[in-house]
Amino acid sequence: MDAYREEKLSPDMKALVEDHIRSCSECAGILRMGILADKVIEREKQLEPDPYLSTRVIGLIESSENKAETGFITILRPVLMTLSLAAAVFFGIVLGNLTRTSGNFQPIPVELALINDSAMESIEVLSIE
Amino acid sequence: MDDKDIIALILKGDREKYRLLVEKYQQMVFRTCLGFVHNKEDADDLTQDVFIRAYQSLSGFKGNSAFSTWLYRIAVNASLNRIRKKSPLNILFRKPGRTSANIKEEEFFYQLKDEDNPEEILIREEHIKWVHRALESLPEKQRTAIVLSKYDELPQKEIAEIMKISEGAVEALLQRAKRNLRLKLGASQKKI
Repeated sequence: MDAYREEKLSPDMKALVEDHIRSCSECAGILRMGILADKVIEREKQLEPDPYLSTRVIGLIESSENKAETGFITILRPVLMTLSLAAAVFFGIVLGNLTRTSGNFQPIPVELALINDSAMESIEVLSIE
Repeated sequence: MDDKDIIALILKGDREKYRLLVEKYQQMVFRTCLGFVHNKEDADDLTQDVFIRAYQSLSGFKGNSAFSTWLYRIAVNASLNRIRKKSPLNILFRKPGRTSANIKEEEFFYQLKDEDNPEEILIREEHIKWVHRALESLPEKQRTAIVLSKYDELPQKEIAEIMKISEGAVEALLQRAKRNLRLKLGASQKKI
């Protein structure tokens, strides 16, 4: 039946099939369904792809390549931020230490360092008097 | 300039040359995808995916076969992956307008038919569904062989090269596919 539909049969064979189809409703039904399937496929083949397909494909390729480049920067940004913050804190501490040792530091006088706290009069003694 | 020259230029960085390949092969890839999904919208999406995948793996194209054969393989694999993903859950939650028997198909049907008789239109629409269901019920290899043969009208030699099987195996697959289609369509016809 497929060979008949695809016109691959010799004229004699074709005539035999046609004779048979006239008398056999089952084979006629099979042939009808085969023709229907061919028609559906032929109709689908008439459809055309999106006319802007090539532009869309090139656009998507460009955007995916740009995204890959910006993706690297996106990963690098928090690393750079953390590093710069750590560097700022480090230099702040270093600068702070430099100013402390540069001359403003005054050592405690010996008299004050040697005060005996236990020998000092308590405030209670003063209030009683 | 043949395909290999164009590919060499693309690999050197001339991305715009890829447009030439897309324009040359878009109809071919679209037909193959349509043979699997039977829906213009899905076939357009798939065609786009196929060309992006092909671009991304262009450096892997060694030129042992024709570029079209290589592209057909990508199109067949992408289409089979797409239909495998259509699990019952996906079918349940997919958006209206993306099924194989959907509005697009009806629009397509109405465009092609002049009959004003609604009953006739409904019957023919049902027939289209039968054909699609019969094609969808075929095992993957038979389906691939029948799509490449019927939709792309490729000779058995080329189908064998795309599917990486012998010509005899293609012949056997086509015979079995046609027999299965006959049985499925015959069963559909007997229901009415």
